[in-house]
Order: sequence, then structure tokens, then C-alpha cells
Amino acid sequence: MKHSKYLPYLLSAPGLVLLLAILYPFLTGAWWSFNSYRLNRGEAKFNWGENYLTLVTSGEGIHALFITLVYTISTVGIETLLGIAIAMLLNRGSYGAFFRLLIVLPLLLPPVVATLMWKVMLTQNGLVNFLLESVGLPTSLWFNGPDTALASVILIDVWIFTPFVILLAQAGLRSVPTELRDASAMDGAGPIINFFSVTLPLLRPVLVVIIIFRGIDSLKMFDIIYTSTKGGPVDATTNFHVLAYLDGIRSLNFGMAMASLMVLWALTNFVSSRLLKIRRSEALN
Amino acid sequence: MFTKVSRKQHVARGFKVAVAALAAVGLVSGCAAAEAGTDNSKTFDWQAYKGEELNLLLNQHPLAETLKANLPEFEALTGIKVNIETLPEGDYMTKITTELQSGTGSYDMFMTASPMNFQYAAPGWIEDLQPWVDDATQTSPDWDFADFYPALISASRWDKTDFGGAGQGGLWSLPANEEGYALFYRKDILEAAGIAVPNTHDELIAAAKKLNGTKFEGKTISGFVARGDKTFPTLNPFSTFAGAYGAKDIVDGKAAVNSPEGITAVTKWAELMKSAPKAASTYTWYEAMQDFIAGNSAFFIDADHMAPGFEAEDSPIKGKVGYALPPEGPNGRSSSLWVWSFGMNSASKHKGATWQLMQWATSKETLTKAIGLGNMNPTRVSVANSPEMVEATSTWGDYNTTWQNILADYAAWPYSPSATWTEVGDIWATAIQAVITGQSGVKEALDKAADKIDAAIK
Repeated sequence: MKHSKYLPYLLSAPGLVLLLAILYPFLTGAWWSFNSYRLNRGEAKFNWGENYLTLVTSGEGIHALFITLVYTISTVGIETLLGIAIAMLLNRGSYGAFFRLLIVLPLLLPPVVATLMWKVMLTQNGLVNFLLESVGLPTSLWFNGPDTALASVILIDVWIFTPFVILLAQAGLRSVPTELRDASAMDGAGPIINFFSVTLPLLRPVLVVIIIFRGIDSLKMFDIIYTSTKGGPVDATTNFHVLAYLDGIRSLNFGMAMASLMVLWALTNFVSSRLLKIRRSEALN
Repeated sequence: MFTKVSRKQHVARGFKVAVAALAAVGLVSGCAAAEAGTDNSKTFDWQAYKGEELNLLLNQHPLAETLKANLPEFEALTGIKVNIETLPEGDYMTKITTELQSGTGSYDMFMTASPMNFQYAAPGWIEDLQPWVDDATQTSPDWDFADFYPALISASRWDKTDFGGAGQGGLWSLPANEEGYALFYRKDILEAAGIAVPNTHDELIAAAKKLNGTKFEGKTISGFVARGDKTFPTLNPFSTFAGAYGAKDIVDGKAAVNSPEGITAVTKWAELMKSAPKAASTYTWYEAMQDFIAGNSAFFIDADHMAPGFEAEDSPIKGKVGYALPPEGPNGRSSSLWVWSFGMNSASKHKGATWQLMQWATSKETLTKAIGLGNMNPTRVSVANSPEMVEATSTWGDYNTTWQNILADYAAWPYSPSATWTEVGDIWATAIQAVITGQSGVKEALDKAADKIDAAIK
């Protein structure tokens, strides 16, 4: 077929433009992370990576890393387990489109709206504490307590995103052929062995996808945390993304903010490349 | 080789150039004519900027409400259209900073106060208003600049020297609302418990402790409530302790928050906050105020101009609030001064029209009308002494004398003028929060804060 010899270039041009549009802010940010750059103090000055050093020596970066990892592992872990469990329960009967819609509702809300909703309910004299008290259960300080803030934020994340896991897990479970399970049941396998030896291995590809999505999302979670606690009390819920926001937008210290974000980028990149490698080896099998 | 241009193409090209040139001349002369037009008006004219449109970004605050309510009057007077956007304080502070920094002039006028002025004036994001005040063609002859309280005008001046020069130099904003910090107490609770109004910090701490957790009219009350949020506005009520003990943020270019005075001030404040609800450690002024209005607390330290909220028709504590001076410490009494004012974006493309709005919004008439809508305390001497002010506060006990006392003798911006002060303030407030939530000892938290502050200001 005869076509212009420029056609390949023309077709890939939009993609290239998009790549440049993404690379320019990214590289600028990376450059700024190696500068002392405060927005209201004049020009950026190269500082040989002092920002990164400060992240470590001030303890802020180490603490943010800790919070980021705790948050990610907790949310991904709880959501995956809970999501698969609920998906398995839903798989047992025909619960119909109505239940599917109900399950998905938390996911349809913008995270900020959902968080504000919960923020109002989880105040010291709020609805949830009132209900807990009326049945004799202990109340909590939720977002206001230094020990309970992180757990509360994780709770919100679980509430919003477990439906996502349920949806994916349901799809995955439906792809497990029932003949396999019936066959192993006939061979005398109980439900537990059935799950761990038959269902789970076949669910692995979906599991990896779930962990990739939720993992990357949780590593860089900002909306839920900032809306509910602004990273507080003190720094009980300050992960890298919130730290970067506080440094960059509140204190106008763009150099430090970019350093935090570059560390976050490196972390996310590492985690996702590991997971994708696993996925690729899954696909080959 | 040159491509041959036909005679027709040549003429067409020449024609196009001529038209372009004519258009350019027309534009330039049109501009010159317009320019000459405004220059020719040697007297002030409210209609000089008729037809222009202004965009305002304001904090959700009674001041913004009163401006919105009275706006039709301004639009009728000047023919200028005004669009107002308001945001809750936390989000407002962030948005106005980003907008001013961008230099796009998308907002012409906004609300500001001392530490914000320091942050914005240093890099030149806001307009120096003194030349506008002095320009008789732009300023109404009835405006009366001298009527503003001198202390408030002084609080709006800074000559941009880091850690110095406050009170002189450029005028960065026009004061429209003043607040000093007072001690509020529930007259009924104190009377029932037989406690006198505390005069010193130790008396206040003891009284709050005694009342904390007791039952009053069937409700369990807390002894005290105040802001505990980890951002710099928390340092405003804290100033009633800081200044009274001689604690300072920065001395001679070095952090002084962990000085012996600084440690004492935070220790006493944390002691008092023990009688406050646990959640108060994350309260902003809004939550603290709501808690007090709901009747949950015996004492409250915050901006004196919250009185309209306490004395509103539907307020549970109407008529039950006493207004006292901030407690007396070894260094006397201390109160911060927060003056919500109007500032002009230096990138605004409608400065003349904006200046008209600013004058009108801070004029005697508008500020007097604003009293009825809850905008206090007045920033003009004449308005403060007006019959409207007396009438509005007539059922509020000694409110009127108390706030004027505080402004006359104690209220001042107690912290260092610097472009980075807001970050310094955030660091100090976070350290105080760490102490109140029990996460850190006083000396430890303040030493860490001092290091961070030194790093931020170097």
C-alpha cells in the first residue's frame, strides 16, 4: 500500500508531544529537588542534594517513609482479604444487580466527599461515638487522637476501595471453572483445602492486578489523608505526598517538596516494576 | 531562484500591509485617547471605572458576609461589577498564596492580615497602597484616612527588612476588622461554683481544673477550650501566654522558642489545655468557637470579636458570657492583634477600580453598616464610638470597654516580621500540639522546633 514516508512520524507525533508534556514538568521537578528553592525567596540555588540529606537528618523523611509503608501495607492487606472474602460470599448465590450496585456505592463517591462525610460522623461527640456508647462499647478519638488517627484514615480507605477489590475478585472467581472445584470436592477435599489449593492459585493473576492497583494508589494517597487530618495530629498521618504538599504549598519550599516527591516516585516505580515482573511471569505461565 | 510574483499578488500584498499598518495606528491612537481620557479627570470620580469587572477572593468570615450584603450599593455607585468567591480559612490561605504567587492577576482584591502581608510583600506580590492613598485623583475626599486607629495602620506597614522594619514603610492593606484576644468566661458557671474571675494564668489554670468534668445544668462541661491546630493561627490565642511570660519566636536572627521563657509559656499553656476536651488539640478557631457556643466549656481564649456569635438570638449562651482582659503574667498582659484587611494584587489589571472598592469597603458608612451584620471590631475611631456600635453591644456586658481596653493597652502583633514567618509559626504551633497530645515533652518539642526554625530562616 502506498503511503507517505512521513506517516509513521505523523502517527507517533501526538504521543511524542504528550511524552514531552509529561517529561517537562517531571524533569523540572527533579531539577528543583536538587535546589534550595523557596517561592517567595527568589531564584533557585543548586545545593547538591541537600534537600534529600535534610529529609533523612531531620527525621521527617524517615517518618514519612514509615507512614507511607504502614498505610500501604495495611490498606492493601485489609482490602484484599476483605474483598476476596466478600466476593466469595457473593459468589454463592444470585444476589442480583441490586446488591452489586449497593456494594459499589462507596467507590462512586469522590474520596474527598466520602472523607468529609466520615469526618463529620467520627468527631468526639459525633454519631459513631454516640452509637458505640449506647451499646456499651468504648469510644475513640478517631482523627483527633495521635494513636488513632492513622487507623482511622486506613479505615476510610478500606471503606472506599474494598468494593474495587470485590469487583475484580468477582470477575476472577467467575473465571475459576467450577468443574475443578467439584472434582476436588469429589476427591474428598474440604472447603479450606479447596480454597487454598484450587481457587487461590487460579486467582493469582487477578490478585496481582489488585495489589498493583491498590498498592500504587495507597503509596501516593493524598485526598483522604489531607481532607481528614491534614497530616496530623502533629505528623501521625504524614506520608510522602502530604509532606510534599505541606512543604511546597503551605511553606512554599518547592525544593524540599520536590525532594519528597522524587523519593515517592522512586518508591512507587520500584514497587510497580517488581509487581509487573510478577505479573508478566504469571502471564507466561 | 525567486518565484515570480504576479503584479496582482504584489498589489494584494501591499494592500494587506497598508491595512495592517492602519489598524495598528488606529489601536495605538485609540489607546492614547483612552489614556488621555483618564488622565484628564483631575478630580475624584466614583464613575471613573464604570463598566469594569473585579474578582475577589475572600475568607469565609463575617467581614466577607458584610461586604457581600452591601455590594449592590457599590455596584450602583460606580457601575463596576464585582464577583466574590469565599473559602473556609484553611483552604483560603492556601489558595490566595498560590494565586498571588502565579502573578496572573485572576483576583484583584483579597483579605489579608499582618503575617500574610510579610509573606506576600517581600516578593512583590501585593500592591503598596500608600501612593494610592496620597493620590487625590483616586481617593475620595470624604474617605478620611486619619480616622483609622494608628495602631492598625502601623500594623499594616512594613519596609520589607527581614526581622525588622514593622510599622514603617509601605502600606500593604487597609484594616477592616480588628481582633484582640480576650478571656471569655461563663458568668453562670462561675457564679454557681463560687469562683472569681481569674486574673493571672495560675488562677485561670486552677479554676479550669476545678470546673473540668463537673456537671452544670445536666451537662458535663470542660474547664477550658481553645485552638490546638498545628498551623500558625493557633499562636494568636497562645500569645496571651507567650507575651505574658516574655516568650519570643526569633531573637537576633535565631530561634528563641526554647528559651526558659518560651518553655514556661508552653508548659503553662499545656497545663491549661489539660482541662480542654482531648479533641481540642486539632481544633481551629471555628471548632473551638462552636464548642463554646454549644455551652460545653467554662473558659475560652480567642478573638474578642467572636462576641456577636455568642450573643446571637439563637445562641445557647446568650447573655451568659463575661468578657475579661487576658490574664496577667510576670511580663504583664499580652494579646496578639489580628487585623483582617483588604489587599490589592500587584498583578491586578484593574487597580483603579479595585482601589475604589477598597475605599468604599473601608469607608465610615460601610463599616458602620457592617456592625449590624456582625463585623467587629471597627477599625475606625469614629465607627468604634458610633451610636450603632454602642447599641449593638448594649446587652453584652462589658464587651465594648474590654475590646477597646485590649486594643489601647495590649494588642500588638507580637511575632517577627519576615517573609518566612508563616512557616516559623507552623513549626512552633506543631511543637505545641505535640506537647498537648502528650507525644513529646516541652523542652524536647521546643528544641526540635528551634532547630527547624533556624533551618527555615537561614
